[in-house]
Amino acid sequence: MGRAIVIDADVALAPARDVTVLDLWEGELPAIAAGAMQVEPRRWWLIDRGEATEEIDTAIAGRGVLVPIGGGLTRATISGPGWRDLLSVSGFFDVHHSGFGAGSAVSTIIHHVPVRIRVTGASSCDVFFATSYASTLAELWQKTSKGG
Amino acid sequence: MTAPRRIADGATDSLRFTFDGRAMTARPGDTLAAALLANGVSLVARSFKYHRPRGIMAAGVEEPNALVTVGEGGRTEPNTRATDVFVYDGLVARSQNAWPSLNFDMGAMNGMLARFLPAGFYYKTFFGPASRWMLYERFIRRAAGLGKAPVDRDPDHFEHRAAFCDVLVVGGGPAGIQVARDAAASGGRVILVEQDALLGGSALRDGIAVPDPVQAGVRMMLRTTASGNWDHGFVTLVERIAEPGQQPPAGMPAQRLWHVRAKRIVLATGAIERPLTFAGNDRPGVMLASAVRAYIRRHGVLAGQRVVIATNNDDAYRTADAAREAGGTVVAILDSRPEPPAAEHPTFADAVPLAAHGGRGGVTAITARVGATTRRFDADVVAMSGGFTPVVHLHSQAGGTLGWREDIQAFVPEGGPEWIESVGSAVGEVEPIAPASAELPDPKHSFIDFQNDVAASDVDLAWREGYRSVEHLKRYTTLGMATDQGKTSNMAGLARLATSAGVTIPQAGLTTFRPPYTPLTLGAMAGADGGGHAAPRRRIALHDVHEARAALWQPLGLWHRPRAYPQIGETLHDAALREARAVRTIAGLTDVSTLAKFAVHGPDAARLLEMVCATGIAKLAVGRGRYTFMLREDGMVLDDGTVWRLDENGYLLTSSTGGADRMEAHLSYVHRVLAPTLRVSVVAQQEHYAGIALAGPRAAAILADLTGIEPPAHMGLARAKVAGVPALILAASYSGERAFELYAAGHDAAPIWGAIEDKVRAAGGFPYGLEALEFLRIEKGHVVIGAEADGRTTPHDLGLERMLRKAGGFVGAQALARPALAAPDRRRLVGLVSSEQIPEGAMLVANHGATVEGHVTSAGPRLLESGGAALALLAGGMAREGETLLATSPTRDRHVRVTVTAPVFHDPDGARYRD
Repeated sequence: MGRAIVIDADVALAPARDVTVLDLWEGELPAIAAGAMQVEPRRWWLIDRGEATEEIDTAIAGRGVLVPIGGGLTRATISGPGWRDLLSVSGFFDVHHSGFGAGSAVSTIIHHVPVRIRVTGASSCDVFFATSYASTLAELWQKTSKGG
Repeated sequence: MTAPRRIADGATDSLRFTFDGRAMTARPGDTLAAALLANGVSLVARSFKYHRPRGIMAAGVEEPNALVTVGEGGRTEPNTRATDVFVYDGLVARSQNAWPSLNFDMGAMNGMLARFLPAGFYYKTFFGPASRWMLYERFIRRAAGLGKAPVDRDPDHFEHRAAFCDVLVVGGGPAGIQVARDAAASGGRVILVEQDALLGGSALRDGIAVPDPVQAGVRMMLRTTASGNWDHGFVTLVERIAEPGQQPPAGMPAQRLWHVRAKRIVLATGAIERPLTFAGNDRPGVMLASAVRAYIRRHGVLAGQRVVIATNNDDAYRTADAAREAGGTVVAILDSRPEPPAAEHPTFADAVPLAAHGGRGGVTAITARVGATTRRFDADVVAMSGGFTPVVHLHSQAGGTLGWREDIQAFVPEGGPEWIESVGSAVGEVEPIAPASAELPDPKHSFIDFQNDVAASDVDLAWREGYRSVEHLKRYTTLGMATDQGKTSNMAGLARLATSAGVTIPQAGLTTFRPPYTPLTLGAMAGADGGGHAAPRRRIALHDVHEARAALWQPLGLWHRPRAYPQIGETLHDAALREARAVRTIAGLTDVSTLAKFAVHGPDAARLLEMVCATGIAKLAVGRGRYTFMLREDGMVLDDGTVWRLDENGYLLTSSTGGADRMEAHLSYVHRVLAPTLRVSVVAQQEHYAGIALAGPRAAAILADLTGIEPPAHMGLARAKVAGVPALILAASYSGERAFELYAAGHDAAPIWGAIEDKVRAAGGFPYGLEALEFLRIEKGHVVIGAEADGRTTPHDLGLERMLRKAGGFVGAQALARPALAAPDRRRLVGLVSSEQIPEGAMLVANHGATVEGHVTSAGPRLLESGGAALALLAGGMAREGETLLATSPTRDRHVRVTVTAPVFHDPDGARYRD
């Protein structure tokens, strides 16, 4: 459990900016939106897909909508061998679960803060959360991790 | 007498520590208790009530006597069990509950007055009129409490962590290790926790090696205590990274509180040895037999040269063997059983201790009944064993039931949740015992609860005074309370109560086992939430902008918003008044970013909104907005805000800051539960948009200047760029002046604030904060959620009934038809005016002492006139217009005559915000 070791992970925070909610009330996710992060049964997040927004909007016309939310989101990119352990600090989900691998996403709470986590690789993930909590989480991770 | 000593084994001490300022040395792995014994220290503490001299009785967390304060400054930790802190270099330990010194303690006079201080003394003495209590309290406060809490801030941080596993094994003794290894071998994720710094449990005192569970794939956590066993496999663990009072390694927390979810929990929590009850059983040198053995085998410390064993079971014989191996002299084994086992020590059958003799330095002899005779034995240590009590705390905490085992005179786990099982000593795999003898020649000095100085006579007294329930006994005598929670005393207390009652122990009952198993620090519970309001602090998008303007911050829930921007020499009130007057006369700007905002899109967007909002929506023209409010299903006002039609199928709904999460849940409930077939999307955009309100007679001109567009009419909307940043502009007024709310992506909004502020200041206006905003909205008569809409008010109570959609169909519509909601004496919104400031929260009465008829919900100054204005909820509402009442606030000693008026004090026709 890393009793005497500070968690070996690096954290970089930045405004998320290009994040758009894709809600569908009818039909399937269009192919052009493939790879979007599914966060609810009928809701996806388009992350850094600004250049495709217009085309996706056309593809879902009449059966869904795109709504920007990135103006109030911060993205924390966590990397390093200890990234899973860092998520367990003030967290409440199984960071070592076999299903929590690259390409997966979870919605959970860290230190009272609702977050969405997208696993981007074997040793990295992006954590999205409301910018109002950025200083709180930054402080938490700074205390806990080597590179916070 | 011969003091405790280290057994010569060639090892050397390498750690330095102090006890009451005296420098001592210890070996790595020593507990403070072991180190004190090794240094010949027998007197360690004073008892709570009688200040009796106390030494070390146990070798584990059950220790009731040896409570010390360790650490310095913010790391000071009182009431630390000397048996549960491992010595580190530089450890500072102090005795507590003694003055002026441990050896000469004035409080020991309480012991001489013991006959006047029996159980219940407090209740029998400190009663009478309130004035007398004020006198008592001074003395009680001084005497109450054990140890002193640190006053300095804790310099360390604490951490909460989550972990999941297939099997959680609590207890690293032989049984726990075996279960953990087996579980790991079958491929599961296994966590083994042990509160000690070493694995082994009972094997440590018997010198038996245990296999390494880590090699078997077990995740092991030492110095970790399972403090609570909650529902559905949820267990909280407290992991000590640093010992009490010790500075943790760089970057590490002092402690971690683990939240563990386990599919299966195995409790290998062992058993705690029980003391015997006899006169002077609390003297230093009277110890648990298993503890005497643990100090010998684990720490190389012999607690005394001449050892007398008093027992009712076979386990203590191992202690006799250990003492002899360590060079001690086993003076006698006093075995209460008629046929003790064969032993190579002087053994006496049918022998029970009657009294331990000695002084504050320790025991020197013990008197025992041996058969029909009384004998006295010289002793430096008395090793007693009254049998073993399985540790069932965690089993019980999770709802497990207990059964009685006559052969061991203890409760053991019986039924319980299917995912929990107990093994080893925890299920009663301990030595059988002979039932305890009831003979106690001196019950006043025969202690049952050592920590609380509860003697057998106190239990007897409670029984005589009518305390039949064990729960009442506990509270009357304090038996089983405080830091040890009766780990060594509960069974003896129950036995004594059962004897008085003439019933069996299980018939006498059992008190409740509650978490935590051992005391845990507030820091561990708080985790990273220390300081401030012990909660995350939410910063608005323009936080740094306001910080640069020296804003005073106002906490609102988790949010922190600017309250005012005082200039040099201004009070908060002065600043707010200046800012509000600027809005009334020129212009001002304020941050409204925290308002809840929801994008509602889809062909059925209007239908959803007409279910959520109690006002008309569908007829709203594109590009227009209106005030709206929402009801709970019981018809009470839930929230309010504005709704804007952005395009044919798109709306923006705003609602209150504090209700943002609640409104999101409500929208989701209406959509997902009440109307799941609606083709609509609801997306929360609270933080996507930062919001800036520009208000005042000059607002329209400033906006036109900044954007180059014709400002939208009141309740109209427009889109434009400000300082190059795209913004949505909503013409809405909360202040009562011509006003606009500008919304832009939060990360990009700072330039907009800067551009508006420059123009506002150039015109003679100012930024304004929440205090001014409050003054302005009160004068305008706008209600606020949480004040006027307090969860008990309907639209009718707030004067909003004319806005209700007549066709109904919204949540809460049917409930509004309840006759009680139309009662004429309901408290309804009114205005109050006075020549002076009206105290907010004041009661409204006709005269002093009269029935309360309402209360002041919000109050502020008139901004351009003298006097005060307030909004209030008053029985009868506007039917009382013109009446004079008394707004009285006894707690602030403020009493103001007020006149009931309409709840709008400024521009009742709304002329000022219409072009």
